[in-house]
Amino acid sequence: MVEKGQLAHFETFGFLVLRQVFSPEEMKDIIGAADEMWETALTTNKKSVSFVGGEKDPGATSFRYIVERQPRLTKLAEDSRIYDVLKGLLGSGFIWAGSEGQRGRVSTSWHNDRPGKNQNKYTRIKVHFYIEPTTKTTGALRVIPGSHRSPFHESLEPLMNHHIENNDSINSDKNEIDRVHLLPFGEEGADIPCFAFESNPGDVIFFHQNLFHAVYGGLGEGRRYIAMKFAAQPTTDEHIQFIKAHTEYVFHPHEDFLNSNSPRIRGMVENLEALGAKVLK
Amino acid sequence: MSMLTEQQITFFNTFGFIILRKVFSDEELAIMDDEFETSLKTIQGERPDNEVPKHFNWSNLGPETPFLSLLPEDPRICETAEQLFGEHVIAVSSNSNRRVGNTHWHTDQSHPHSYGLKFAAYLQPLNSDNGAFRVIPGSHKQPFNDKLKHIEMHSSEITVPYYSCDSAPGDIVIFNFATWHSSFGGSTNRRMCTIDFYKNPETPEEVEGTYDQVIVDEKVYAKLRAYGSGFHPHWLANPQNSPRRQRWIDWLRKYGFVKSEEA
Repeated sequence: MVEKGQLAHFETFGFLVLRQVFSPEEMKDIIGAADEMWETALTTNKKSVSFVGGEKDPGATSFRYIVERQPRLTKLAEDSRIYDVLKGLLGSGFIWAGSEGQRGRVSTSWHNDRPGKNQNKYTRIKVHFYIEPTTKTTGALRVIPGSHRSPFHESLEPLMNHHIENNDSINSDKNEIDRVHLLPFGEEGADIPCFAFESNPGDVIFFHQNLFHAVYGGLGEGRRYIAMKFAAQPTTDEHIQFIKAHTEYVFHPHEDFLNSNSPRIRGMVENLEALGAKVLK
Repeated sequence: MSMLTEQQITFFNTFGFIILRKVFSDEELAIMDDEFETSLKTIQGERPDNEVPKHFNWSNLGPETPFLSLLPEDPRICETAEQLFGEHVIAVSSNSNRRVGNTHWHTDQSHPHSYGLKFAAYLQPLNSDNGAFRVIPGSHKQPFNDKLKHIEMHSSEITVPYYSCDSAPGDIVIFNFATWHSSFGGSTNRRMCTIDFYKNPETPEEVEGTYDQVIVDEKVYAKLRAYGSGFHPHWLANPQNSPRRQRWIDWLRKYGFVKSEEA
């Protein structure tokens, strides 16, 4: 269940932090399962891995379907400590929107996930589990509270444009004056005012994917997290079109989820078939 | 020469505050410390039984604090205010504050159509743990601003996410009155000098908000002011014949912030 204050926190600030949701023993199992998947992916199933790093972190990888492919991680998606919170935040009938395991990313400049016109009308949530302790200057997820809502959201779009145009690094060959002039608010991304989700393994953050977020000072090879994505039950054609335009893979749920014995897991994907979902083979 | 760059103005308009670093030199800080200390001793001497209130607040517009009384007209201050709120912005106070302990989440805006800016110069190094100005970036804008009025910021269920404006003596934090802010973990002797500006009202709603501000200011001053008047006769006499100050005084009289007996 979500307490009234927690719901108000999420709606107002665009995120919710829960501390020590998982015990050290549980985290040990989660980390072990994730490590097995990463190693397998990098050695025998390279198609499942994308290299997402830049100049500073060329080895950074993102592993899609990490939760769907590993039963020990799949149970996270139906765990009441996660599921019930999502039900409170998204309402009944919320859907599964994929997973990823990232490691090695040093920094990610300010952005929101899948920007688009009218995106504010449809709630999508990302749940992050960090595998190592993080602080503001060592890879903690930074968020700009309240930036999931208009018009604050739109006022930050210059950060997004900067993210796209400069792909994490602002023309390093330019001199200092020119470089600073290009910064939309006159400050480096690391100095944009924000809240840093400093965390220890076992902590979980639920954040609205419209929220502006970033990471600076990551520990390179050491920074790892598992992310699960969810979205409110699509109820309008606009929602369907949004998913198709930005996260089409939502309509290709993993076979293991479609055939799951868990009513909760199946419930998050089976209704998608009516919306045109296809099984991932 | 403009004090703020276009990007800094955008920063302020977007986040509702900005920090300017090393505005005051070491020599100026020494004068500010000295004037602050002298005034504080005078005020404390006048308190019964050396009572220490949570918040000492007094005006710096008298002749006994010559440096601080001129800060509103310092181009680094007033021209910055004019960049942010227009050339007709009005300086309405130069105060010193000695605070004890925490200041909970609040805004300084008393009316939805009354707009103002505060310049805060902290005289001690401050960080998140010892009383630095904490701010919720972007909270000066609607509907975010109103949304924060309706959640229980003081309840244990809400951990308010904030940005800490860590500062060193010489820095200035400028914030929009509407921006939500607080301070926690401060010592029993947190010192700051502030200069407030009001936006010149341009609409009937803003005029109404300005008259409302007169009433609010009287209540706040009655509650907080430990010493003297907000507008010292010496400052109102405008002995340097500053046109800018005279414009401010005329405006303050027009709206009733300065009463006839203070002239």
